[in-house]
Amino acid sequence: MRIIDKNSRRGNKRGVLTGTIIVFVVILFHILVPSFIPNFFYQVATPIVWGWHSGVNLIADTAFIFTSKTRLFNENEILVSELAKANEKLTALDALQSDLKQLQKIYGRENIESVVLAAVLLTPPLSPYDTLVLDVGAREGVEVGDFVRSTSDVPLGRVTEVFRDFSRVELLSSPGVETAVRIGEDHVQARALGVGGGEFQILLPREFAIAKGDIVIFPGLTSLPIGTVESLEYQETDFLQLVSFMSPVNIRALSYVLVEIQSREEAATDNEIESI
Amino acid sequence: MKLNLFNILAAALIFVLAFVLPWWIILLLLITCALSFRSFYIAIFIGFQMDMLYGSGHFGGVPFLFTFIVCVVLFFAPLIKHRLSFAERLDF
Repeated sequence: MRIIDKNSRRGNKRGVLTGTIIVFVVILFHILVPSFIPNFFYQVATPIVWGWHSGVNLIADTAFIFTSKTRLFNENEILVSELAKANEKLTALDALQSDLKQLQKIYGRENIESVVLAAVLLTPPLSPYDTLVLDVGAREGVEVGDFVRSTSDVPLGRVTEVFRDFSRVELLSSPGVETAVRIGEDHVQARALGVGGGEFQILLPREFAIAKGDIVIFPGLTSLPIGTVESLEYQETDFLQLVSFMSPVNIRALSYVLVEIQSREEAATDNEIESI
Repeated sequence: MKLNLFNILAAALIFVLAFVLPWWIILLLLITCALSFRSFYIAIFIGFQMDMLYGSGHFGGVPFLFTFIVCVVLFFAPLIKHRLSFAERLDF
């Protein structure tokens, strides 16, 4: 039989009680002043994260010196051919883009948007909740609901919380988040369900001919691509098919994003910033 | 609350690592520390730090989810601790 010292037990109880009181007080403080503690943590995180990234880059650069020259040569050849193909496609897209802008201008739907470039401080898999933390906040005019996209115009998510100098973004691929999309050559309307880590799933009737590699777009004037179909799953007896697609952007490697500050003439005033 | 040097050093290390390592590594470190140290209540602070950094409010509507998970770990750690040989050896 295990004999537990009475003093130690009493000490443990006191410890639990003290801990509980501290946690309760901190949570109460957080409820009363919601942005103070996250702001403090972000201020602490900034130098640590940048320092860590610099260290990792330095190690990667040093390791690069020792990489085999033959492997590098082969890799270079592959990349050059891929770049040539990509450039070909890009030229065609550029031509279409200018046509689209011209059409929008003619029909009075010229896209006048205000965009803020933001550095990504924290990304998944660091985050357990599939969120991004950006280094822009109320000071830069960011507000809850602002749309966030990658520098290559891929929709990523929406701002859910704004602090003085930082903001949190819920990704469209966050588990449980539903997004209206159009899929396939026929632009079938569907609701994509985020499953985390840049992945989405859609349940569609099998009668819609969806193929692997089909582009999924975010509905709107500019029809931004949100992903490409990776897999289709169904049984022969099933009425529905499960379409899985991934964002073309590697969320784990995101360094910068664009925050669309729309429908506001000017950024938040100093008084509004102070109140946050 | 018993806070010895090992507790504080481990907590300080995890506090810094929480900014740069994936959440599941942090959770594993916290579980290991909860099993290795006698009163690792400081883990609750690390859980709270994770919730403050990443915000769990919109994740299924459960606020302080990570803090809650850490509390559950701390509750069950002493119950399974004496069954693990490595934990008994490391019992600081």
